[in-house]
Amino acid sequence: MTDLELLQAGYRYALSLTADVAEAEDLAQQGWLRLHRRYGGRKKTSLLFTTVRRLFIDRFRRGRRVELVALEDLETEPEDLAMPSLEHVDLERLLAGLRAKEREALFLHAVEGYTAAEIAELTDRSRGTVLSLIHRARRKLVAEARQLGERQEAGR
Amino acid sequence: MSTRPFDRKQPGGPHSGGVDKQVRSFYRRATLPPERAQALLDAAHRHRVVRRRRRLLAAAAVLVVAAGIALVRTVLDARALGDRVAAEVVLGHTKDLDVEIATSSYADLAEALDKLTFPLHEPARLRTSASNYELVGGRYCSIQAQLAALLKVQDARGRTATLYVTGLSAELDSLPGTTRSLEGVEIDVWNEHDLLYALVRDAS
Repeated sequence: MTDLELLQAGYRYALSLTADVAEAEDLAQQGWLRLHRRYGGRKKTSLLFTTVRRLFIDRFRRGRRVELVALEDLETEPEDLAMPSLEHVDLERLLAGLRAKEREALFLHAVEGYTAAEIAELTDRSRGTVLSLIHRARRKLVAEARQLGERQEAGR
Repeated sequence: MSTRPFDRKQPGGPHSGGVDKQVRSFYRRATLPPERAQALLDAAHRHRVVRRRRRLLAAAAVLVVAAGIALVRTVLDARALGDRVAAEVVLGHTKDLDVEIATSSYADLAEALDKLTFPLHEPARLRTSASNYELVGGRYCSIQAQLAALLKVQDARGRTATLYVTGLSAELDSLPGTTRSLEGVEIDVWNEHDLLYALVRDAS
């Protein structure tokens, strides 16, 4: 993996945590520079992710983080997980509506290909919790996507 | 045997439908602006260069300090050795030991002191001295546990001085030539033809 590829991976991970482009850019920048300060020539995805994650948690604790808005609990569960195709902006909005830890778990699995055990190790959660987070994230996205599709259909 | 959907490396799972695929597509389209990414890469590069320079400077500083300490120790060791030799030769002079071989010939003395492992002859410094030293005689002695010769010499005014001669060991070789006064006597220490000489005489 080249430096640029690693940097972009760090940015995407930051985006999965913040759901905000500007915050993600800032987080990726700080994470990248801290990685070089602390680990010198060692460049590993897991090190960068851990660094970015710690920075994110620090910000969250200081209250500087963007507000985390959770979707309301869904009254009805989707029958399956097939999701209507969404426009980029719509998906961005739906992802932003997830909890940060749900978005993070889904990102690490779906985008980075981490196993539940690896995500559990990286995020210091149990494997069962990670599985639950991913499952909830998917269901919320599907439910929201369907509601969005229905509203768009009704608007025509 | 069934496989668990999360225990593998392939992104997305068989039960994820289109969710994972769309999420993956979304994030893979998200990239840092090229100019910002390049700026970060450049900053990291600069940081590496600065870090390397700092390490080199730190290593150089450690070397300089180590060399300084070694130099100081060498100087202190040589000074301590000089003090020990001075004390030894002064003691031999003040005891005013009798010579075992009385002769005015360096050649005869060298022949008599045949256990010496170095040649014995009049040093140039005495030969050219204005004091016109004459050999009176000599005997065996030791300097720093090393076999040496103790020679009695007399100047034109009849004052006796003690001349020590020994071979240059690795330790004595580090002894710098000096002239000093100690306990009412004057001591000259010098090297000549790979021999160490020390001339001790009462201060006039």
